[in-house]
Amino acid sequence: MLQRIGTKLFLADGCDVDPAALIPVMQGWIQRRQLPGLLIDVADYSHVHHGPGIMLIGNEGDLSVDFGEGRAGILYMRKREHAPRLPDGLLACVRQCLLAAELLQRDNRLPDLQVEVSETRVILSDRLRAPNTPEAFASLRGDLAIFAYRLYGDASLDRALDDPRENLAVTVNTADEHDLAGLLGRTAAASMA
Amino acid sequence: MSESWKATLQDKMPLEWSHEIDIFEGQMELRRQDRLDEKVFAETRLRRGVYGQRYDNGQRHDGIETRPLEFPSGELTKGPDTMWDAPGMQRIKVPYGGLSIAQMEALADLAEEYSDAILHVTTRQDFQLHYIHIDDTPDLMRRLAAVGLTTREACGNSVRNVTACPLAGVCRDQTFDVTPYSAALANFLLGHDDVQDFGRKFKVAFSGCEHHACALVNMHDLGFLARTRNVNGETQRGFTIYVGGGLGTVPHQAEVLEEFATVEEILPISQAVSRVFARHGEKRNRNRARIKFLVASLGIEEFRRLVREERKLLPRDEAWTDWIDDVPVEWERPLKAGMSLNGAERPEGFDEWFRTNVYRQRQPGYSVITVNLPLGDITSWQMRQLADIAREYVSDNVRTTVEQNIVLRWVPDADLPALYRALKSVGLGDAGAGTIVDITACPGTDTCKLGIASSRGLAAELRQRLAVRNATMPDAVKDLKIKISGCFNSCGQHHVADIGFFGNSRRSGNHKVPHFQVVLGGQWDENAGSFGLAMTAVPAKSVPEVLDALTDRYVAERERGENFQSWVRRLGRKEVRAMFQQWTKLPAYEEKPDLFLDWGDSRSYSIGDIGVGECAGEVVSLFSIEISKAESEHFDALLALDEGDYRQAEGRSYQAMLMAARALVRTQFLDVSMDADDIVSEFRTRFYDTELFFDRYAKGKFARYLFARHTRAPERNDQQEARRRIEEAQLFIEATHAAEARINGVIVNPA
Repeated sequence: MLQRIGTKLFLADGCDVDPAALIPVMQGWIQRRQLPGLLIDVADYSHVHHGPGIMLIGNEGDLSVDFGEGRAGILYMRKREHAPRLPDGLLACVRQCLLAAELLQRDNRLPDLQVEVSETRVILSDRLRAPNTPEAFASLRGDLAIFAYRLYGDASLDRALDDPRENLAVTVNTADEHDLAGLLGRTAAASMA
Repeated sequence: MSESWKATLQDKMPLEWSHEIDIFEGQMELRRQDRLDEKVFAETRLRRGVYGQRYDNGQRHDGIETRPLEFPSGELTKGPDTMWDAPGMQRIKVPYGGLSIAQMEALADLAEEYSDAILHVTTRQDFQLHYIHIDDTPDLMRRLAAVGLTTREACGNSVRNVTACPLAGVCRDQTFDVTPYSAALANFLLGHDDVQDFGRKFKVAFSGCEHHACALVNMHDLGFLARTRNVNGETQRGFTIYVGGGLGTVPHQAEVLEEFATVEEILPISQAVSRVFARHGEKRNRNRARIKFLVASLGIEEFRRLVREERKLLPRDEAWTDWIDDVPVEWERPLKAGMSLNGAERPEGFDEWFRTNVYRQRQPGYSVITVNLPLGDITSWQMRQLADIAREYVSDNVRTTVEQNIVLRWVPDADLPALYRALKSVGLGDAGAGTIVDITACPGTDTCKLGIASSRGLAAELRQRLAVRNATMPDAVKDLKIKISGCFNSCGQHHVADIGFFGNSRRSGNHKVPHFQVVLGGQWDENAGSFGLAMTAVPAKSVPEVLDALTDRYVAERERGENFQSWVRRLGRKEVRAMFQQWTKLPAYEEKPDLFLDWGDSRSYSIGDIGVGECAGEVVSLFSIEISKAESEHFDALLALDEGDYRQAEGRSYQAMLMAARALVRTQFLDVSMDADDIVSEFRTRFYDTELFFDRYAKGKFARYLFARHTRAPERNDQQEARRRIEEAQLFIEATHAAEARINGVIVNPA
């Protein structure tokens, strides 16, 4: 089973985020237990170029406002075991991103932050079972398509990164109109367990 | 598609390493079944480099209250008070800092899959990965083993990573390349029977010359300094061997064990030292268990005698010398031919980068370039890009440094502009390597269980501020070194910086305030030739202002050619302290709440589970008044040291400890007399025997400084003894502050 899986929702173009402002926001989430799962600490990597930015460390997975590839977004990487089927696990990951997006957009300390929901990046961080090759992508395509359908309905899947050393990453795009509330509804059945 | 790394990598790992990892995995299973004692497992785990991290006791202060972290494995522990599921740190040894491209790529993968996609270079040329689950460590170790890296004895009471000058082999001033010798010793001691029974860790370093700082042999348990001598017209290679150095809470300069040992002798002498340390070193009291204490208590002459006796008794081992014939004339080969830079187009920013990050090798046409890593961090993606850059320009000629950077060696000078562009494009082209912006910091409160203040938070803030001013900064300031530790344990090497800081805390009313002790006058050059001394503690949030005041005044007042250490000496401790006075008086919380926060952390400051009780509500406590007298006495000891009056410096330090102890005793028993015996007796009964003075990690260590000095006055009154007593008094006073806050403080943590 793929254990290290994740999803990333990108911030809207032109959206400027001050990483320092995210620290009290995420500390507040821990205090108020505002996200599912065991939340442990906040790590500041804002000093690193195109890095994980500000990271909320959890037991089941880590959530960050991540600057990887130079595109800011909300990344949730599951670390521990999850639902036995990959589509269910990915839905739980994207739900975590959506819940975080909702909290961030609602927070008046981050007035400019907007999350774009029509694109989801899927990350499979397991070079043993899912190397970044066309073959591995092809073999997992069925499960990824189920995930994409349950999230968006109609959606396209594309392998995102060519470098075989990188994680297998897949871009899931939809042309349909979706908003945050609607996607939260579509993923409501997904569980962190 | 294979289902396990073990099966996939079986043929790629050295057999012995593979077997050791299997054993560790078996021990993990035994521990899960509670068939292996948690203390035994903890030491086993540490010897595999699997280290604890902050909050692994299963609780965390979230800014409002201390709350349990309810990990899914429940009560299962991986050591005393260390929860199984709690994120931990994995340290990875990199002997002499030498890295190959394959290793860089493997490290990048591991950080991404098991950690947080960040690789952290340590002050001992290791890598550390944080937030690792112990269940992932066997596979992580297998993937490292497959590229020739091990975590064995990266932590625990054994021989840690053997470090060496990152310029070894290409340095213009070296006696000879120490790389093969450091590699041979690292290989010889790894897992050796004679290094398995130490009371504490053991650190080894190699330096190719005396004058530069690259290897810091003076602050190591065992240090090797390259030497040559002429024997019958032939040049013979060897080393001056140093022993008993170390930073830690009380720094010790190493002593010379052997003026000249031939290369054939360095392994057997190291083995003999290990045996003497294992046999005679302290085992029960870990605070006195480093070899520096053994050397200090025996005296170097006796220690040397024991080592020489032991050396004679060692049975001959082929491994001592069988590597020597294979030592190549050049350890490394350049990928490309050396070519001069002349005439090449220079991109924007290149000249400044060239000034600070490029070192001209002894081999014409080649340079070493330093990749300046902020806080020692590099992402997985950046590491892969750096591996590609290495592949194009230098091949496997890559090393980590004790200043938490990475160097690429054997870069043809003509390639420097293109290389700079390539580094810049992946965010690794920052100038300022080895200057004031290139700040060293230990993990501190970010991840370390012992951290008192946020060394990384402070380092990030200072780096950002200094980078803005860098272009207009005078060279005299640019070349200063700043090093920061999160506590008194010196992992950030604050003792050997021009300007060092170590974390501590103070109480103001009912609130704790993160502080940093300012340490001035340390020497990085001459292999850490002298240690700085603490001046005064200032609030963490005031450090940038303190630094500005210090550097501005240095620029304004320094005399021609005067370096920072000389200027500090000339200014005098009184004047330095007076300069800092405005920051040492703490306002009420309501007046300046920001001061009560640490850098990079929005939670109200806390150093753990501080007892909640009735609010004393005092404005200035009796303790505050009395402890300030102890601090004043300590300061006078420092002045006496400056004046060369070592007897008085030592005596005043002892007096300061007595006064601090009395201040604490008087919080319970006002009528304690001024008699030293009475003070010590009352202190022992009320605070030591009851363990009220103990903190979670140091326990009663600092109290024992007082007891030891009270029992026995020093036999000699030299500078070293006086400095040691001053350091001990400083730490005792800090511990008294902390104890008083724990016992009497009602710490309010506003949301």
